[in-house]
Amino acid sequence: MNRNDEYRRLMQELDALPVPDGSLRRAKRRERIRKYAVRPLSAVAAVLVLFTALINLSSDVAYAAAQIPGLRELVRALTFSRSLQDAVCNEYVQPVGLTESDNDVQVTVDYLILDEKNLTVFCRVESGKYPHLAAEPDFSFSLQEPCLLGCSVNNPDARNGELRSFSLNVSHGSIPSPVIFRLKLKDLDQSAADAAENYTPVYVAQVEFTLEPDLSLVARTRHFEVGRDVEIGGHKLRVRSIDILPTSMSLNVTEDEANTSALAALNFYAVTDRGDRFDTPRKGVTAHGDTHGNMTYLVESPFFYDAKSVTLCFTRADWRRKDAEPVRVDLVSGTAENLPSATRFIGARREGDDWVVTVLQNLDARQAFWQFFGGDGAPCTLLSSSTSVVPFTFPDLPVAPDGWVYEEYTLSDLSGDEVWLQPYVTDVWTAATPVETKIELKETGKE
Amino acid sequence: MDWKEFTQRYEGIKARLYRTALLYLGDASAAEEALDETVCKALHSCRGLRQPEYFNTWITRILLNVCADERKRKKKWMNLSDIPEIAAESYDSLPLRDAVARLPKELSSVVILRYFSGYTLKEAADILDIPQGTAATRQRRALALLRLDLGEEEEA
Repeated sequence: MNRNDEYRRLMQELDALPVPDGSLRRAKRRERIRKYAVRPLSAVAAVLVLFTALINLSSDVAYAAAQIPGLRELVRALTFSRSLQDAVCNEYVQPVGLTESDNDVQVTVDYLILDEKNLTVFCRVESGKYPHLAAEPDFSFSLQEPCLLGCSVNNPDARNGELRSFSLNVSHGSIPSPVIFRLKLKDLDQSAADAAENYTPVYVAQVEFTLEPDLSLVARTRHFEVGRDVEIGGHKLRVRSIDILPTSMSLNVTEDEANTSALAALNFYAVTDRGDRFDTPRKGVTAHGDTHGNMTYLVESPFFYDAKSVTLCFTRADWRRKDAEPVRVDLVSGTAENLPSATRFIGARREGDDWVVTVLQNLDARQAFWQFFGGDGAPCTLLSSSTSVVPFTFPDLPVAPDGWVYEEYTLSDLSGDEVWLQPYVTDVWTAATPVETKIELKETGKE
Repeated sequence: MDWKEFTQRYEGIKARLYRTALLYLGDASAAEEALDETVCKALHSCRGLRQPEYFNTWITRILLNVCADERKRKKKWMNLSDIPEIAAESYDSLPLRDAVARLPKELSSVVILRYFSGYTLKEAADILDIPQGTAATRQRRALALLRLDLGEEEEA
């Protein structure tokens, strides 16, 4: 049989193959999850902004940039992020100057900061009709779609006329140009009036911008191969590489398959050879990864600091035993067995076709659960999770005590009378003195 | 683009997408996962698709990116400059499906889109975001390595 005959036979085989069905249904479900999953980032940011607004105001970086006309307010709006401040100080910022209006609400995009993994957009909202507006962002792209990690509202309590900023993170692929940036504006006064009722957001305006950042001004990611093992809490991690961008530094690690526990969280900071220290970002995405033990952890960036080496200092690791027993929740009796010590069960309630499981969680122990299964062992869908000092599903309960929060998990596709919850963390390792490893920054090609 | 239109357009192209993914990734399970991921990404960003007539090009490009990421993860790609001296004989000795999968990605992309997924040369060039002349050159080179002489099928 010659090649052409082989080609025809192969085409016949391919024609006869059944095309798998169900992609649309699965994608729709994932999209539904993603819509809910992305938004909590904004809620986390909202909690953190009050804390961060009090710090960094007198740093040398902020002072230096305050001398640049027109950028003083921008720097003030960035006190939550050392990397973004440094970017502005080094004039790594693109002016935009686009204005759109809807229903007597005017939005002006003033600046953006873009690197290959992060886009931050700065805008101002004005309205003579609605004095208190909250803004919800949405980003999309016209052709290529990088893998989105999350979108955060950096200063959700900004008032009309003040500079607001929104950040978008991607894990792989670069942020393309143009970027479609939409902003939905919510009337907070009307929302407050409706809060006692069945609350649904009241959007009074929506604007859309096509942002076309100058990609020639986007800094190339600096990639450094490392290939070094570190032992943390009795388990081995391989530091594969480091990526340094203007707005973040990524530490790419892989867990040793022989580890008896999986890594749930890692705390570390980096110190350059010149003594500058870089910590975990205070907002937005701090880590991402896959299910094969490949993780990326982010710290603030030494991009503008001309570092020749960085020393990574690991201070805490949260581990999840691979053989950890799941928690069983009896949905009928509203009881739970085998709870982790930092978790107290509050209850489970049906909402339509879904179930909401509520627990009280110690803040020092991170989130309570991460995987959910029905009684038949089949995974069920996590529609949303929320963290709050007030339990929305059990409104009669008191506010959470200091150091604790209510976590609520909304689950769908549950059959039967029980649900099994896989704990997120089973063991916490804390360093008496940080585990250190020094890495020379000699640039290599990308992974 | 609304859900109904998305569904209609997707149903019209899903067989081609699946076949493309299958040839890129080599196994049915990976191809199905790639299709799922593609639909998910496309669904998430379809509001940004200003010209629905480019739906096929757009979603195929997303699929290729998804497949490339998966291949990158598995580190299967060979660079164009890595073709060994005895390449022609090597490819000739492989079954066609394996030979296509073993081509450098610049060549396999063109040949899969053109001869297995049924795109025209212009469509393939658009999807890959390369000039049509470049696509034609790669097509010729790929066919030569595979020792395929498709003649009239070239225009099919």
